[in-house]
Amino acid sequence: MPDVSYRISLDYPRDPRTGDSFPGLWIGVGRLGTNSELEVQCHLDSGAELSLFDGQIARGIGLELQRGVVQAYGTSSGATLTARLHRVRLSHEELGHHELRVGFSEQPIARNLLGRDFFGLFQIGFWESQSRLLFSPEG
Amino acid sequence: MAETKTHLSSGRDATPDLRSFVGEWVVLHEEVVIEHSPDLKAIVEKARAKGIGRPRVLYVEDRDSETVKLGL
Repeated sequence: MPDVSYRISLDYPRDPRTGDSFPGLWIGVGRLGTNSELEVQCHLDSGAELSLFDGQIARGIGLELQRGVVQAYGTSSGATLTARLHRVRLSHEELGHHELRVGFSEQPIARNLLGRDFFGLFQIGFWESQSRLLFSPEG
Repeated sequence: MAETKTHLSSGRDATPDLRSFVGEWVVLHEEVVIEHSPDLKAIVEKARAKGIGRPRVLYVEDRDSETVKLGL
């Protein structure tokens, strides 16, 4: 059985709407080659194969949403929504800077999701009883 | 779109403060709502014009506290 140790411990953020804490992050989403960046709230979602952000965020950092490759996402209800893939910079004070190709939805979504592509960058632990996320960089 | 300064309280006290922005994007600066609109790009441009280089933005979801959330 492997032992797992973590280097970074972060409190769950609070949903400003409800005050409830949840496993997620405030993370910077930036356009590559520029310093255009927004800080957005995301949920960590191990059920998401690819990260997904609302398409308005792409426009907010100066990307042309429709220039990205089309990617369909299947939801838990069986519906499908479409997104456009763009390579962006994800930035966090403690987790560093990472480039990822993520989806930006063509339809409005209520929550941004960091999926298994993001999970591949770290060893991640969920310490639910303490409302804390635990991280160690992979490699 | 209107400039608004709404202070967020901590914890569950935050609930009533954002209720009037349901269905909109807000820009938060030092825990204050400084801009809100359904159009994210518009309020980001306004925030940048105010010197905020990395605006913190949030979509205010229409959801009551009894609803259980899923990712999607």
